Amino acid sequence: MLAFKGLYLKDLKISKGNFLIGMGLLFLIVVFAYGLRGYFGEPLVPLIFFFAILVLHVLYLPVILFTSLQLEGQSQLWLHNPNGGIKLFLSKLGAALTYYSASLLATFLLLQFAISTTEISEDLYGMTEVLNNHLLLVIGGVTLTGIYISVWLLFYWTLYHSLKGIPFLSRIRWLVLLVVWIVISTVSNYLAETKVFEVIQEKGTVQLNIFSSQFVDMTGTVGQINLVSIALHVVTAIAVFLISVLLLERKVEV
Amino acid sequence: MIKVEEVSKKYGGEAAVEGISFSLEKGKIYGFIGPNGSGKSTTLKMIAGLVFPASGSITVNGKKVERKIAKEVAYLSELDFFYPTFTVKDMIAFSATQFPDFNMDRANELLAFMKLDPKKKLKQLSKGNRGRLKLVLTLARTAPVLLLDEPFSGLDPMVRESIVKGLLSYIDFNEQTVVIATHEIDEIEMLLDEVIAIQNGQIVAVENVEELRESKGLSVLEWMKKIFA
Repeated sequence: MLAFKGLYLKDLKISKGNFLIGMGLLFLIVVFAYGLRGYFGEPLVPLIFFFAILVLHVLYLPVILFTSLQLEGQSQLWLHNPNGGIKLFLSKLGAALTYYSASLLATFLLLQFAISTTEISEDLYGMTEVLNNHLLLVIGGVTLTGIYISVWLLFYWTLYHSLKGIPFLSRIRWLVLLVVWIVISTVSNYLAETKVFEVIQEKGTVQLNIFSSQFVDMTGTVGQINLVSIALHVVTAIAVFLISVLLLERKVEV
Repeated sequence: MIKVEEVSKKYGGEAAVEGISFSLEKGKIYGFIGPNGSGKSTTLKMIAGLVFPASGSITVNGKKVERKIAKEVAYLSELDFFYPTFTVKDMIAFSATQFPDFNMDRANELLAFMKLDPKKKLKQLSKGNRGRLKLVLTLARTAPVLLLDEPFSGLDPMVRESIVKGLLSYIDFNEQTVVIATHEIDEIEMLLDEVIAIQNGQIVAVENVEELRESKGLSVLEWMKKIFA
């Protein structure tokens, strides 16, 4: 536990600068949004801005994680460590999640403030219900998607650095990553279109009654949760994470 | 004991080391000498589990070398890498959490010995002081194996002297096996028990330093010049 705590604190320190830049940007957006609201006399501007930032947080975790990994990748000396790849990666994910949570909370509070101080008379393209009652569900979706993307980022990052050790591939590493991405996407799309998968998916679908019909109409599938799909994503994320750990421990060199 | 058997490693088609074999005994100080690009650093990185051999095997105290061998091997890198936001104290505290054999009292003693300010940020340290800090982090560990890759590279004579004094004062001469890779042999000649000369990825000679002086009447530097001439 002491080793993990040490790694976590180290990773927090590494990413602190990026977190502060993010908070600074958020502050500038607040000023900009309220400036636009005053200039155009349009009370909905801050609300739309803050909701957009909240959704854009889906990229926050991957960005923080990537900058942290890139710093380590300059020398890879972080690998001179008796602790396993699971700890090394989890501490990075943990530190990124910590900053993500702080930034998300700040955005959430700003959005709540904007909602409470704005009279929403229009339907806002079917978003009224979401803003008033289901923000936490949106946050849950954004967070899980952010974690999922981050795990794939770990995989591609370790694969990129693993390829350095293969002489004939080291110069075309980006191309190899692209090919791997295309192959994985093609295979998963093919599997998703098979009859077996369709049947499983139908059986695992749970309807959610909490969304307004308009919101469901807008997004098509947000009004239902597919348990099989979630389970598959969880299993995929765990498998991809473990493969990344294996690559880090056995293939990435200093 | 470190055992390297028929180890080869290639980088981009070029052989960094080719079929090298040697054994290093407990409680001895070895000098890996050779010109730039001879394979010294690659060999040390392979012993540290940071680079993987293409063929052959390496064991440290009977254990096959893998990444986690860092528990038993303290490695000082030739690279001048540091976390920009860290202070000296942060770096010490971090290492203490990662390596079970990290001795905090010894680290504080070494900091005072090297005249390093714990509150200073690493990015504010001179290259010489970063070199000193790397040595503090390595010598504060009681690991059975210490690997020092070019500890004097780019450092002025004052820093070199403090590093040699640090080595003399803080190495456990009975328990620790020390390997120093360098092509600047002058500073460490007095420390060495044995020298291993590497050229073009192959071991060209192994000598006992005392025997070298007594039977051949050569200093390591003279011997090195003769070997690489």
